Formats: sequence, structure tokens, C-alpha cells
Amino acid sequence: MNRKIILLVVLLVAFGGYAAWSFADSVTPYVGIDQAMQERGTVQVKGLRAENAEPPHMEGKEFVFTLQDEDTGTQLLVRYKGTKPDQFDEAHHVVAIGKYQDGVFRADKLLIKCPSKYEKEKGNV
Amino acid sequence: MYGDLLLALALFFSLCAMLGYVVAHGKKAVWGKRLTWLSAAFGVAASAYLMVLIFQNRFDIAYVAGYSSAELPTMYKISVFWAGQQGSFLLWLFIHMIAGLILCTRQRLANGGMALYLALQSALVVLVLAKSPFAPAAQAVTNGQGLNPLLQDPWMAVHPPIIFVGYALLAVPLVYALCALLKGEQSLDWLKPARNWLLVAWAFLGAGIFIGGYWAYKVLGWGGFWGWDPVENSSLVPWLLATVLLHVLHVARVRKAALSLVHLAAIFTYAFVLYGTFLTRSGILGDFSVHSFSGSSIGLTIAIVNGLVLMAGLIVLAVRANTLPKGEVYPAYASREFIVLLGMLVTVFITALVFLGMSMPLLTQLVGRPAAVDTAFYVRTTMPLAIVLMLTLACACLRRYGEGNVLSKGRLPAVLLVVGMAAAFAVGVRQVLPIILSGAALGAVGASAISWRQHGLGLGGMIAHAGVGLALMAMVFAGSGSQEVTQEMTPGEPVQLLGHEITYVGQEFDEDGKAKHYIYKVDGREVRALTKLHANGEDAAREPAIDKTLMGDVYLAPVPPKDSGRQEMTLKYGKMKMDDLFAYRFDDVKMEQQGGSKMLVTAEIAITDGQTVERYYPTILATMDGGTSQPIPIYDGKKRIRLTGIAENNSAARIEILPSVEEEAGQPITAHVSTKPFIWLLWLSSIMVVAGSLIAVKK
Repeated sequence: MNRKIILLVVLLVAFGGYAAWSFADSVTPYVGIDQAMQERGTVQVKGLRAENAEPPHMEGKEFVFTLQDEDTGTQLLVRYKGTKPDQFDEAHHVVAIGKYQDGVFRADKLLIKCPSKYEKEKGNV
Repeated sequence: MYGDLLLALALFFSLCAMLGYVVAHGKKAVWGKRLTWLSAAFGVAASAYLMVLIFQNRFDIAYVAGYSSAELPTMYKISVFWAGQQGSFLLWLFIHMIAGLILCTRQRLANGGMALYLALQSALVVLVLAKSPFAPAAQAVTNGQGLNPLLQDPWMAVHPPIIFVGYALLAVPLVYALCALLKGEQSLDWLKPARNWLLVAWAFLGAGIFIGGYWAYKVLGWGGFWGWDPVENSSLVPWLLATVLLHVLHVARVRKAALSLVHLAAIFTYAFVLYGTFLTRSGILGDFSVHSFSGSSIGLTIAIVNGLVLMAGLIVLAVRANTLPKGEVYPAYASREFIVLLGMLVTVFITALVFLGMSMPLLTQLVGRPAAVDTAFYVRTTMPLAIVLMLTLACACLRRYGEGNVLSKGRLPAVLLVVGMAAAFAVGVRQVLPIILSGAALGAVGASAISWRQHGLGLGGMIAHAGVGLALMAMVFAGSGSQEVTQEMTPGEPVQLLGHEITYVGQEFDEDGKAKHYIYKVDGREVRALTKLHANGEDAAREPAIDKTLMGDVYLAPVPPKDSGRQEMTLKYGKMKMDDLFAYRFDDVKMEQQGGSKMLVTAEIAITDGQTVERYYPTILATMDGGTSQPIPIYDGKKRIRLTGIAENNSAARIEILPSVEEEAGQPITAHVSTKPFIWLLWLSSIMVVAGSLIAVKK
């Protein structure tokens, strides 16, 4: 009986270590725009599409638009490696995942939030 | 109103029926059974009533207005029933009630179990009532918002009901287990019906998950079949736990001491069905999921039900633990018992990783700032565990229960292991772990076949296990073996991509103007990418074009054009405005009342190319909630114009100027092009998994 418990404990500890190690590696914090500007690593940042800014457009292979913090109103220029996502124009909120570098937010991925609907769809590419 | 009343009556009679079974005390519960039928009658009536509301286009009901519209085809009107969370809860309740009728008619479940089942049923009615599909709309509308065009797909129409059959039926093994625990049941007879119900639930939940993946692949155009999104994960977690339950249940039929594991797995499986629902339906992950959910107050209700089921189950288990049989769970490390349990422990680990990953925003919020994991996390962390799982599957298949009972030395699986690795390499996989997984998975396929030949596994079991192995191998092929490029293509010019000659032929519009197709030729075979259009001609939902061959798919996902060539123009009354070809003047406007609250607005626009003047009459059909208009060609189709609005005092008109149909069709289009080697293997193996487990039911 004892040996069984020891075996189970060993397996559990091994798994716990494995899980902790892999999580430490891949967790992306979720921040507001002001916070995003101070972070070095990869973050997820949520904002509204800024209205009084340059309209969203393509620059070469990047899609460029401005996000605005819902509470503070801070604006953030986002350059997304890709084309304009399908639902972008109807979007309510946009979540950009990427890094803040040299005054712009370089996004690898965009999540598009459409207003008040339960929809199964992918906003990212 | 009537709907809520019907639900309230269903709740009342569910509780009465529960009492009926409680007071029957081991005798025949005549009243319990009658009341169960009565409660189900009201539940079915409520469901029928919702269906009637949908078909009558009752847009004064918020749910109908939110998900249906007058012009929706009949088939998708049916699927409006489960398009939103309120309706899908009602569907869940409906299936739960139907299963309850089967249970009470067959009378193999003891009265206590029926009482528990009805308690769960009552909780489900409360969940439906907490956010009722029958709630009136805040504002009267003349037409509903319609069903999301992406969901207007036959696969998506059947996906939710199949998933919910799985969810609903998982309640049955739970009540069997809890009932046996409460009664201190010594015989193992209940394991058989519990297993059969569980197998059906498992097959349906699995089928639902596979269909969801197939739909994502076929319709969403992001190139994969699984996105590790919370909504997907929340159905995967209970399915994996049900897998664990299924296997420990089989061990318990041989080793009574494993019964405690059966109870534990049954409780956790159902608790995680509810937890997944809580996570995805409460809106709590709204910021982290690409599936958009409206935040809602139902989260707390689900959380309470979830907590109650988990706590009640665990308390009963703790209190009754001493009545459970004790003894050896496995005779030796080399026995099938031990290897199956080890495999299930690994499955629990995989489940835990997925669960922690999807709950990460919630868990990190408790201790500090919220954070989420990226999707690559799941693949990276579960891959090594999947390899171990496939190895345990192969080893367990080669043994019978008991000590030293080896069916085969496993030469064939060992050979297949090498073949599987070589095949993955040949397909183009170059990472070590996926190659090993492919080999281990094919080895497991061989081991299941041997096991069946030696009567270690039944026919259904063999098909299902071989299907799981094949599925993992296919995932390696189509996932790690996939190549991708993004390429701009001009109509008519062939390009060599990923070993295929691909030509973008052009666009073609459907006659009704509701859809267009991007047409491609892949090695001479024509494939079409369907794009559904909004009434104003803009893209609503873009599907990929898929060229299917025995070697795999070529997957072409067109990307929206950078610039559609469309241009908006506001014309002041009587003033002229120009673009590159023409000058436009807004001369007159006419309004005609149509039936209902609709109005047909016709603008008169004078257009000149410098030599002649032509008059055009674009129209817009205005309703309370907006308007619809179609583009009309000008100057023999050189361009098209569309009326998009008229200022309140008729002082200005807004038009959209579109390039000619030919010009728009001739624009170069960028597409993500990828290969999916042997992806049909994945579809085939999914069918094997589902069919195999259903065959196993009969045993």
C-alpha cells in the first residue's frame, strides 16, 4: 500500500513541476493601455477603437489602427502583422496581443469583440 | 409569458416527482413516475412553444429578435432554438427530460437515483428560468437581427444539439454512482447500465466536438480544426473526464476496490460539465475568448449549482467511503489494471492542463492581475503526455486483466511505431515530439487490432481505440506537417505554391446577390471559396476553398482586399460633386409608404461623363431599424452606385460609388494557402471513435 502511495505522490509531484514550469513560460498578463506601455513582455491589451484618430489602414503588410482605453482615454497605436480582420468594422472592443516597442504596440493577434451576441467565430487569423 | 409559466409548472412537477420517488422508499413509485411524465410534458410544451414563437417571427420576444429574422430559411429557423445561450439551456433541459422518461420507464435505476436525477432536472429548470428565452424584447422591432451567417451551416445547425445530448446524458452515470453510494450498494449490477449510458453520452459529446472542429476547418478559414478557445476547451474537459470515468468503470468491474475512483470520476465529470457552462456562459471570460459572450447575471446561478453538485457529491463520497469495497486495485505493475489506471492518470493530467489553461484568467485574477495562456501552450504541454498515453494504450491492449496475462509480445505494434514515425517524417514533420507521437499512436492502433483478435477488446472497443490512435497521428500529419504561405494572386495567372499549381480564376456572384465565390484552380481542379454577403453587398462571412485529394487538402483562405475600391460621397441637394470618371448631382427624392412601417425612398441622381447626362434612381428600403439597398449599374456598368442614406430634411443624399462588377472581380486577391496532409484520416478516425463507442454499447 505504501509503495502505491509513494508512486502516486512521485507522479503527482512530477506533474506539478511540469505544469508549473510550462505555465511560467506561457502566461500573458492582461493589462490596460497605460500599463501596456510600461511592459516589456507580451501582454494582452483591450481597448475601444479610437474615433478621433487616423482611420484604420494598411501599411505594407501591416494593419494599423488606434486603440483607446475605455477608462483613461489613453490612445495606443497598434501595428498588426496581417490584414484587417473580418469583423473589425462592427467591433465593439478589440483585444490586441503583442509587445509594446518604440512607441507602438506590435500585435501578433487580434481578438474582435462584437456587441452583445453569442457568436462562434474567430476574429484572429 | 406562457413559456415561463410552462417552465414554472415543469419545475413544480419535477420537485413533486422527486418527492414521489423519495417517499416511495424502495416500493414501486407510481406517482413519481406519473409526475415525471407530467413535468416532462410541461418542459416539452415550453420547448414547443419557443419553436412556435421562432416560426411565427415573434420579434417582441428578445431571444427571437436577437437570433432570428423573417427571411431565415426553415432549417436555420430550427437551429435558432439553440443559437443563443437561453435556448441552448432549454434544449439541454429538453434532452435531460427525455432521458429521464427513458430512465423511469425502464425502471433499472433505483428510486433514490430517480430522485437525484429529478433534483438535477429541477436545477436545470432554474437555470433556464434564470435567463429565460421567453423574456420580452426591450424594444419592439419589425425584424430580428438574424442568425450569424457563420452559423448558417448544416454542421453548425446540428453541432449544439449533439453536444447537449452528451452533456445531458452524463447526468445518468452520476446518479447511478451517487445512488449506489447512498444505498451502500454491494452488488456491481449498476455498473452495466451506467456504462451504457456513459458510452452514449461519450459518443455524442465526442461527435459534437469533432463536428465543431470540422465546421471550424470548413467554414472559419483560419486553417485549423481546434483553436483551444475556452468554449472548445469547456467541452473537451468533461469529455476527457468522461473518458477517465469510462475506463475506471471497466477496471471496477474486475477490481471492486476501484469503485471509489468511479464515484470520484462521475462526480468530477458532471461538475465540469457545469463548470464549463459557467465559464463560457457567464461572460466571465468575455475578454479572453474569441467567442463573444454578453456578460450576464446567470453566472452566479450556474456557479451555485456547480458548487452544490461538486460539494454534495464529494461530501456523500467522504461520508460513505467506509462502505466501499477495499482491496487491491491492481495485482502487478505489468497488469492491464495498472496500465489502464496509469493511462487515466495521464488523461487526468492532460485534463488538468487544459482546465488550468482555460481557467487561467480567472485564477490569476484571484491572486493579482489577470493573465491568459497562448494557444501554443496547450500543444506544447499536452504533446509529451499524449505520447505516454498512446504508449500506455498500446501496452494495456496487449494484456488481459489479472497478473501475467500477456496477449502478445507486441512485435506488430513495435513495427508500426517505427512505420508511424517514418510516415510523419515523410509527410514533412521535422520536430521530434510530433514524430514520436505519430509512431506511438500508430503502434496503439496495431495493439488495439491485436487485442481484438485475441478477444482482449470487443469490436466496438477496438474500433474506438484504433480511431483515437489514428486521430492523433492525423493531427500530427495535418498540424505539424502543414505548410503555409500567404500569396497575392492575379486572376488568370497560375502560380506554383507548395508543390501545386494554383490559379485564381476570379469572382462569381450568385444571382440572388446573397453570396459570391472566389474561384481557384488547384492542379486543374476547380474549387470555390464561398463568401456570404450582407444586403448591401459587403462581405459577411468568408469561407475557405478546399481542394480535397487522397494526399490531403489544399486549403485556400482568401483575405479581405486591402481596398475594395468603394467610395462614399455625400451630395448636397442640387450641388455637383465629381470623382475620377463622373460628376454626380442629387436632384430629387421620393418617399412611398410600404406595408408595415417600411418606406421606399427613391433618390434621383443626375450623372454626367462630360458629354451626356443620365438620370438614375437608386432606392433604399427603410425600416425602423435601418435600411437595405442594392447597387445599380451606371453608364453601362462602368461603375455602380448605391443609395446609403438621405438627410432628414432631404437636403443631402449619401451614396456609395462602387467599381464595375468586372473591375471588382478582376482585383488581385491575397490568400493564405496551406497544405493539410492526409487530413481525411482525422475525419475518418473521428467517425471510428464515435461509431466504435456506439457499437460497444450493445455488448
